[in-house]
Amino acid sequence: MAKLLIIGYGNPARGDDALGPLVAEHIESLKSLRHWQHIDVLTAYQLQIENVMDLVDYQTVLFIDADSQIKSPYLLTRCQPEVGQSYTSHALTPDALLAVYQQVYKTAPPACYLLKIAGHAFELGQPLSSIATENLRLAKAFVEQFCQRSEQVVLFDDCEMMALSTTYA
Amino acid sequence: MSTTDQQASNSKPLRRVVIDPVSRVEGHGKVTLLLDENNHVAQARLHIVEFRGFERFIQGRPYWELPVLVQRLCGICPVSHHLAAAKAIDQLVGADQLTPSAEKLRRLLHFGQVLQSHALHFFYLASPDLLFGFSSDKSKRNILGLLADYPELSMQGIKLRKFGQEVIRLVTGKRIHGTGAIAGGMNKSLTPDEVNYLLNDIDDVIEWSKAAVQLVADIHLSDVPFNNEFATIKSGFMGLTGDSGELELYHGGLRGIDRNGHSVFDHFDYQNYHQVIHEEVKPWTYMKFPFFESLGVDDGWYRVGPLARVNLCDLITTPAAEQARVAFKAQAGADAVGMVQSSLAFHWARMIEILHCAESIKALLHDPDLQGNDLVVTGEKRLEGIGVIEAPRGTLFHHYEINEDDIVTKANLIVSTTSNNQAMNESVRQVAARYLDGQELTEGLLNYIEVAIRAYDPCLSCATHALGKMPLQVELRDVEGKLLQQLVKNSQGEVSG
Repeated sequence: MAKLLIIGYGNPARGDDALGPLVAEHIESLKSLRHWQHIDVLTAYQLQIENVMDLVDYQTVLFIDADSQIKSPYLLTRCQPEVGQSYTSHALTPDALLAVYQQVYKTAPPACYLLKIAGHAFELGQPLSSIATENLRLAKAFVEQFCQRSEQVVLFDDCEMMALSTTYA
Repeated sequence: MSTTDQQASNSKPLRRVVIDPVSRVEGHGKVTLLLDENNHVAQARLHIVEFRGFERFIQGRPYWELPVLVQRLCGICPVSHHLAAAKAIDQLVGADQLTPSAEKLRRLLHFGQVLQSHALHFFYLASPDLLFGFSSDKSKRNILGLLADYPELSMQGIKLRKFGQEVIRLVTGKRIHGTGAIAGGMNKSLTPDEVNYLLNDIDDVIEWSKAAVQLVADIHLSDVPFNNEFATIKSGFMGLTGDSGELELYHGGLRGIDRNGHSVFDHFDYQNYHQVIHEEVKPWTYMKFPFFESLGVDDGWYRVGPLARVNLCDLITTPAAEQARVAFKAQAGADAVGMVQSSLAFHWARMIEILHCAESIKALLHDPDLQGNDLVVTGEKRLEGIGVIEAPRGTLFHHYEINEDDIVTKANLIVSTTSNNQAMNESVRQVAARYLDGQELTEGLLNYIEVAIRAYDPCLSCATHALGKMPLQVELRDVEGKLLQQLVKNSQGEVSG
């Protein structure tokens, strides 16, 4: 069975920035119950250069992050190895991480997706906003569906992604 | 945005250049340059845009939550906050002396943290400038350019990072939000399998660290006049040292010297830090300006971090790092009193510390105390606790007061970057005056400013990264506030004019 890695990242102490880790922890809590032996889950504050080593041996990777720009509760996008601004900071984007992967391992990276979940408030010490709390509920359901589908599907084509994105939105 | 400034010394028309945010540093800062009509630099300042709320975040929480809670202050150095808070709450439970196992586990954790932090900074944030040139092709001056031209070096950097993270994971039980340190000790020790797992790689880690020291020394010595002059300022230094004056990252007394190398205090008990360090507040930045109280605001500012520590210590207790320290002092342009003031020498000192961490980790892994079960001590409860460690970026103070219900009523943190605040401003001024004065501004020249700031590895600590939150904006305005030129870089790295 194709192996799936889920990486939820963000700072849990900064309000809606906690969305990524919260979804990841939710999936972790379901793993035994749903017999998802093919899924591993990681949480992180930020994506860092050494995370490239975490991607090895997986066929599919799902990154989950909060996003202050999207208009829908969540949005699934496909990641592509690409140099962006983030490589100049301490933290990397999934696309930049894939570009590093390609450079380091001289091979194509796994099929990677980024689930953006809409967040609005990122102040230190604040809880999830009410809107983000609702978005979290929707995103959890979506990622559960993603995990179930990942048992059969390694690569989601555009139609699959569209179907997944609209099932619970 | 104002284009005039109350502290600008002349009344001629000025224009303002903003570098916002400064890239390849942690968090969000910006630099403003006020230029007069002849492009001469009238003023240069580093602003910390988001640096607030730490104390408010902590107050009202039970003290035993602190080691976990404060890790969330920073996405880059959570372990440093974890350990400083743990040392402070040791005081609250009356634990003046930890068990050997607990102290060694904490030291191992700290060495792992410093090693991975320094590796990230040198290999991925600083070395593109150092290896390709400050004003080299911007598209290459990054991690991917480094991977293409220096693949072996880059992989060593990744593996050093990974090793440090593995030390943290095994000691604290988790990659993030670990709970290793608790009041009065540690909550777990290492198993033989965990020790052996780390021992498998430690000899490679030491060799990579030695190579990194040699690389940075070669870079520095390839152009001594430039590297000893660039962003160089004359400052005091402060850091912890051990009883014999040795380099000490986890626990020791405070040593401070002034810019002329004269001792201000030595082996000073950090429980009384407020007697020797005061902080000034300025209206244009969130960050405070600490200074040696006895010297005053103008003369008492100082630097912390790797350069300060390697300068201040009398020796390093691990052999290869000590050899590197001696070479550093002999070759890096130390002044008459033995202090290296070159800001770019921060990189050299940082690699000496990586080597010290690697050697120290190996020694600790062979110590059976790491597998001991005597992990916690307690004593008589107190209402005030102060913990100080040498974090990767410098001396880190955590100071708490609690009430009888164990709730934190007061918190004061002096983070490393705060101590380097004045020095970073001075370095920015030096570089602006030396390299930008009278010149047409280009991206390469502006990167000179960023190189100066990056040498300090500042942690501006926003610790949030939500997509779309980190645009770059450079503005050029005249004295009337009229926008003359603007460059905007969006969150995807696309630049538009």
